[in-house]
Amino acid sequence: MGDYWTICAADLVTALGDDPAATWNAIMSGACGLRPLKSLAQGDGRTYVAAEIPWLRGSGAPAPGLPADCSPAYALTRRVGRRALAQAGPLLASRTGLVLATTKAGIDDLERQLVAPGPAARSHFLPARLARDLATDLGLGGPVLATSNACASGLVAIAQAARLLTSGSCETMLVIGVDILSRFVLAGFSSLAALSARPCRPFDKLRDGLSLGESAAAIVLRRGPWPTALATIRGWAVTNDATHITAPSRTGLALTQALQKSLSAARLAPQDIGYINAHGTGTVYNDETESLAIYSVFADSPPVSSLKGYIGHTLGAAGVAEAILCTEVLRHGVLPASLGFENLGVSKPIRLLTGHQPAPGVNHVVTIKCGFGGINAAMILSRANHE
Amino acid sequence: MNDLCFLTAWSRLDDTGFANPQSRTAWPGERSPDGPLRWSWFSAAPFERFGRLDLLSQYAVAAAELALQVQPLSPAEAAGAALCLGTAHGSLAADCEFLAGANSAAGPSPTVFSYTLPSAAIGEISIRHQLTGPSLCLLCPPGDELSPLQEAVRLLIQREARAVLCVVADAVPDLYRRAALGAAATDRVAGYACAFLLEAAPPAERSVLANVSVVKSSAAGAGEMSSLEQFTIGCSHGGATLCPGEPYRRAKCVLGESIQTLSALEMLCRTLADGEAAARLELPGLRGTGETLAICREANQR
Repeated sequence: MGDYWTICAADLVTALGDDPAATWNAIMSGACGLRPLKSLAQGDGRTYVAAEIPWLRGSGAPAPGLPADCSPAYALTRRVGRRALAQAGPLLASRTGLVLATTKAGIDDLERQLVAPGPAARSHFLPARLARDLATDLGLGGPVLATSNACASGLVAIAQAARLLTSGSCETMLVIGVDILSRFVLAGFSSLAALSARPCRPFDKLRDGLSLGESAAAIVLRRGPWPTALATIRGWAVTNDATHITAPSRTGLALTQALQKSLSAARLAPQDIGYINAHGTGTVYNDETESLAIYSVFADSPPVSSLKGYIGHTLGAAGVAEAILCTEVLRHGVLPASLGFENLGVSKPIRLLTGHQPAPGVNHVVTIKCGFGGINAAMILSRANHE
Repeated sequence: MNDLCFLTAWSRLDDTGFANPQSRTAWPGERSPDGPLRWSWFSAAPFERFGRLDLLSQYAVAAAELALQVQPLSPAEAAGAALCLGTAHGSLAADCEFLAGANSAAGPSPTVFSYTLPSAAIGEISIRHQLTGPSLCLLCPPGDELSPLQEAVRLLIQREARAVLCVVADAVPDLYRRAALGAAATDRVAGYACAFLLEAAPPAERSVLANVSVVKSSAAGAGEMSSLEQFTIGCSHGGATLCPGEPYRRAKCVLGESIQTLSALEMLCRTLADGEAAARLELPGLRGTGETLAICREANQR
């Protein structure tokens, strides 16, 4: 067995639940978090569908102990970070670091700052400041980094944390992924005509765009074994299409290489993989490219699903959030259906799940995330204590 | 695991102009102080889209170009090369531009939105130089912008790539400076960039400018840089001392805490450009790692 990293603890807030178990149970019940969005008016007359955390913009302070003007992104990340660290048990805080993954968390603070300039102390539109304030708040003395690798941010952050652990720079890493719904992001994706008017339908013949979601997700990562391990990370790879800054490569070559390299890093063969958690945004080109890459590596495709139909596309949080849901797959031995999928709408015959499928023997899963800038990431998670 | 790697090219763009190991050029008089960069200043090779890039991407792409002019990568080398981008303010210039458009009659611009992620700069560099290896975009607190260099070394040491192009870039719009930093409004473009090509085992025909390694230390405070004075203690360069001059005072005005980064960067490039003296430069590593980055060159190493 090669080197590996253990997920010791995890916490997750999505539109479907306030912790990993709640989100997983909601997925198992077939719940969909995507609804017409009411709280973020765009003024363009369109109705957006999105997966909104129900309580996040409610009345009152965002969380106990936080100032009333604290950004939702800060409140969410603090919440999941604290709970994940508490779940992990006693850790040496001075040897624990943080990697934060996000695309635009806290961006609404920028608009406020530009309209009414003032002390920027609690403004978190700069991810590095959000990470630094979080680490201080959580009492972490290890290295602190923020990454922004578009929708691959979460997996890139986990990989970066694993690198720091491998080099002995710290003993424990907290990885947090966060992105929240904002007027900025909604306006941007709307201007790109990338949003579907209805809940997204990844890989389906009738897919016509993505549905945004919001989430904060945290994992505690260590190198080597851990008594209460949720899952292990065996390998990963990140590649770049080098073709376009927003559109995926039409050939899927770089994503194919990411999948192959992640298998090689994990010392596994394609047939060892029991489930693929696809990026599956529901856009025409992403899903087609992903199907090309999956098919070229896994000619006999393992079961595939996208979780975007349940919790929306949570952007920079997606890598961490969906990695946590992959640990649930491994722990429960059930593969989730690809909500919104009915008829195959991609050119390669990959095996999309139309219903939940028991898979008690699944030991290894792959999660895929791709983002603007041509970035592709693939990571392999394995059942805890699986040799 | 071999912890040593090699620096084979560098470049920088700052207040005074732009440079790489082969040339040093002052900004042309035609340069508008708050205007975008012009591609023809950096290269004769065509790049028609350069004028449409956001400011961060312009600085980052220009720095990458200047570095790789010195040491072009073969297609095979580029295919496996990693790209590590570090930035403090990320896509803030594009963010401000996007917000201004979204709040105007023009409405939100899809083109500008594409550049509201700093990974757009990664995409632009990757496309131009066909870098298809690992991509990593790090957002660093002001003053810590050189820590991506350490993470680039980590990618080499842990054998995720055989070459890493590390680009550190920042572009801060005047709008933000006025609103958030409380600085006096100027018409200046507050941007800078530098690029470093690091290789695990460069081919024999390629000049090595310096050896680079991560130095671990258990001493309290190692890896920290709390003041400019503390940084200078780590430098030895023929008795030279670090003297922040007028360009840095201006930079401090527009980039706040980044004064330390710019000073360290200037010292690093001065060290690398000096073909005569042996030098050892210790850059502070990522805070909390207890590591420093040692950049050593022998006399006439080039």
